[in-house]
Amino acid sequence: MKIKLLIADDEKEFIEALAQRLEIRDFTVTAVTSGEAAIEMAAKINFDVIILDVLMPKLTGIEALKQIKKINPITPIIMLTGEATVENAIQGMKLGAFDFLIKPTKTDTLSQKIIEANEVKQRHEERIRQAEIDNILRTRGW
Amino acid sequence: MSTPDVNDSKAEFLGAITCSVTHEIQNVLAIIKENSGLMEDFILMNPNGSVPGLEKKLAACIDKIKKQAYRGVGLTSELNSFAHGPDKTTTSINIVELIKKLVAVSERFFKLKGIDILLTVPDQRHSITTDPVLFQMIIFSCINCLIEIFKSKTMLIDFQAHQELPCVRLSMENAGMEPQVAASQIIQTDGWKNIQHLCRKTNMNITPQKQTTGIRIFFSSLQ
Repeated sequence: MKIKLLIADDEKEFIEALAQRLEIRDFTVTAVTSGEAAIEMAAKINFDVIILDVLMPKLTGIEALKQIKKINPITPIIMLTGEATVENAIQGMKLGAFDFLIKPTKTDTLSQKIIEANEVKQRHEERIRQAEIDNILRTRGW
Repeated sequence: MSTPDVNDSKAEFLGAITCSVTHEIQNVLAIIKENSGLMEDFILMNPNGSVPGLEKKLAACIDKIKKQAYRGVGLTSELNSFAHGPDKTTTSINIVELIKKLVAVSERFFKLKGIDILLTVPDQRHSITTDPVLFQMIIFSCINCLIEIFKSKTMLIDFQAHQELPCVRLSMENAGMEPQVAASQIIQTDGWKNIQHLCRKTNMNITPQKQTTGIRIFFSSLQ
């Protein structure tokens, strides 16, 4: 099954081209141009991986990360940042981001990071499912 | 609170603007990189002519690359012009032109704070002799001071007459506060003392507006 991605960056033409390149690499991509829109989409759809630009007007990527983590704590979030704002991305890591990449990044490096993030999410979901099964079995005395 | 050294403030101001514009140039380069990469992807996918509408797709990418190249040229020209500001510490400046240049280079800086700046350009040319960097710093600091207080999304900059001399007026649109209340808040901000200090150095006067929400800067002498 294709990995479902949400990408947020305020540079519309950047995100349009990046989305097309990731679709060519077999990802399903939803692209938005603000932190607010990213939160809205994350509340509606269970994405496998979310990519957020750190510097966005009004609501920054860091603020969006905090809100999305409240909605869906296990969805891995990759932060995209410029060289000068690496400190912000590190702050994002402390707030639970999966990783950060410095822009401009190679599309293949980004793809690899997305796949890694999705694998971590799958393992996490599998552990949750297993814990639920164990719990049911325990409550039924099996 | 003591006022910071003017040269330190100048360096901080020039750094903030340069950082903002170079960040935008990086965005331009990122768009060019992704669109050229997309062209490469299309070509690699098309060894047997299997990509429908390939020419159209490539043409769309080329258009975007061209557009960004022009945007990049515009940004570097603006930054270059701005960087020549400190060439002379005192010179004759065209007030309107200098504010136009400042608005151009600081557009993204303020957009990231959620603010759009609308500049109304007068027909008449107004020149003063002053330090061009300090003048721009005053305008920049006033914008920051107003952003700190008001939630408004739009700032208007226009020019008015004040005792036969022009003055620069910075106003927040739909500030949601009475001008008198706003004025008392403006003068309590951390930045206000520093703005006054800069104004004294450049022979300018500054006051919160009484009729609208914002700040007025007027000049002691014109050329």
